[in-house]
Amino acid sequence: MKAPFEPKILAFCCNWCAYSGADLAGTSRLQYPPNVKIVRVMCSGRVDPGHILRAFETGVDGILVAGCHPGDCHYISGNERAEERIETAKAVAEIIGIGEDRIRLEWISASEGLRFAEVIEDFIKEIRVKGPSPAGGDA
Amino acid sequence: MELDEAVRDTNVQMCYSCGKCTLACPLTHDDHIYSPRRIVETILAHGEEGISPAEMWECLTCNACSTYCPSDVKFPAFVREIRGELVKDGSYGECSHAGILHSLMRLMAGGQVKQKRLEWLDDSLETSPRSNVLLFVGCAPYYDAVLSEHGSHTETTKSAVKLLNSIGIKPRLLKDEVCCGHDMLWTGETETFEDLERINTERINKSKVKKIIFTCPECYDTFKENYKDLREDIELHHLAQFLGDRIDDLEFKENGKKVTFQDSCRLGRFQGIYEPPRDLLLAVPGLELVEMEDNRKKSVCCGTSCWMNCDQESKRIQVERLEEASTIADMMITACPKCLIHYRCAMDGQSKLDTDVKDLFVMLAESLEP
Repeated sequence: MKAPFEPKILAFCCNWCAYSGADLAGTSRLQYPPNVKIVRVMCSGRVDPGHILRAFETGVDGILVAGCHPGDCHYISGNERAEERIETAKAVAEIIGIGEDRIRLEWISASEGLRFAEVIEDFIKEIRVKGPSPAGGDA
Repeated sequence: MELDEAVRDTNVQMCYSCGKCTLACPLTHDDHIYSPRRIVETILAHGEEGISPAEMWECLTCNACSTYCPSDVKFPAFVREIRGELVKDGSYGECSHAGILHSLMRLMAGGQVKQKRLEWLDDSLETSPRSNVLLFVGCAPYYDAVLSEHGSHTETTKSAVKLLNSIGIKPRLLKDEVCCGHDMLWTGETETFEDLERINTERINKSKVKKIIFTCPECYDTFKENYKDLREDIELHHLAQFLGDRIDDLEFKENGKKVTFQDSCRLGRFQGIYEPPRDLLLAVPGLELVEMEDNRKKSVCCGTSCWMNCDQESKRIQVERLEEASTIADMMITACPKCLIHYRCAMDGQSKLDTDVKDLFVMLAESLEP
């Protein structure tokens, strides 16, 4: 009897907005599925396409990069850099056959705990439908 | 560790400390010394204790040392063997681009992903799924996505198809080709290399392919030297050499550029293909070919290899080479995608370098008579 598929999601959250948003979700006792592991980065612009591919290599099924809303970036334009980098990561994921829709970029502010929980829930639902990542691995 | 075996297989024990390798090494200059001689001596004297991982990762494996070695010590191959052991112990070089290219190679080696690697093909290019001439595409589609700021790399592949079409060949392309494994082999990730080798070998062997043509010297060298189980009746050609033998069939239009040719290490010092690219350039009417002081087997490495250990030494090597090229020519031509990427990268922000770096096949395809 094979266990049903449970997506493994890795979320890179920026220190200033999304990670505080995740904190707020926790302190507000909001419920969201436990399939996500959070990595705190100082800025969403820090996340390199290489980190994303490395994560797929180790067997995650979906990757969320979450940063400050446009215009709110703690480092002024880091989230614009994040947008460019995610564009590259998606292009690469498409060619290698993992698919660009396993990568998601979201803007979540420190006051949006509820939105954080909703984004996670929605993404996990989407990946559950898509099934396991074709890259395999056992994260 | 099989150090004794590595020493024996690569002739390291034949070193008699003449130091020619250190003089030839592009990493050695005024205030920086990289000494294959000292490295070899230390390892011969102290065995495993004498291995400095940092020095092993620093080597560019460009083969300049071996080219001048009177004792035929194969230093790059020795470095490769040691790296294989270092990787097992968890040591690794400093990856460029956050290791994305290494990740891609490992993902391909897993054999589970279904790639979309032929999206660059357009209607003007004639290919045939039944042709027995295979054009090995290599990693160009990935370079386009990861390194888009350094121009298009599938441009080279498109140009290769155009050139082959112009002499009446419709090449076959494999939609499930994987990386040749060159970088995995030379970073010491031997198992990943073997997986890639196995996948490519199986897919090619069961096809009716009789010839494989490569645009990338690294793919060519790897297939030629390190693929053990490829069907024996398959001929391997680098495109420069393949077209060099068919120069009379190519018709070029006038091109008044003054160019110089950068010999890449895999095509030059590893495979000894020096003249065909030059013959092709000289076949273009009006094109003037000038040589840099260090050319052919003396050519200088492009400063970094296997997407790792790209540092100020790499930059120095690249800028010096570009400065030399820009003083004598309008354009530096190379037949290696890595040289192209590394030199273009070094040109970024170097406004005083008034030169352009172009791929040989792009140049030739642009010069074809329509």
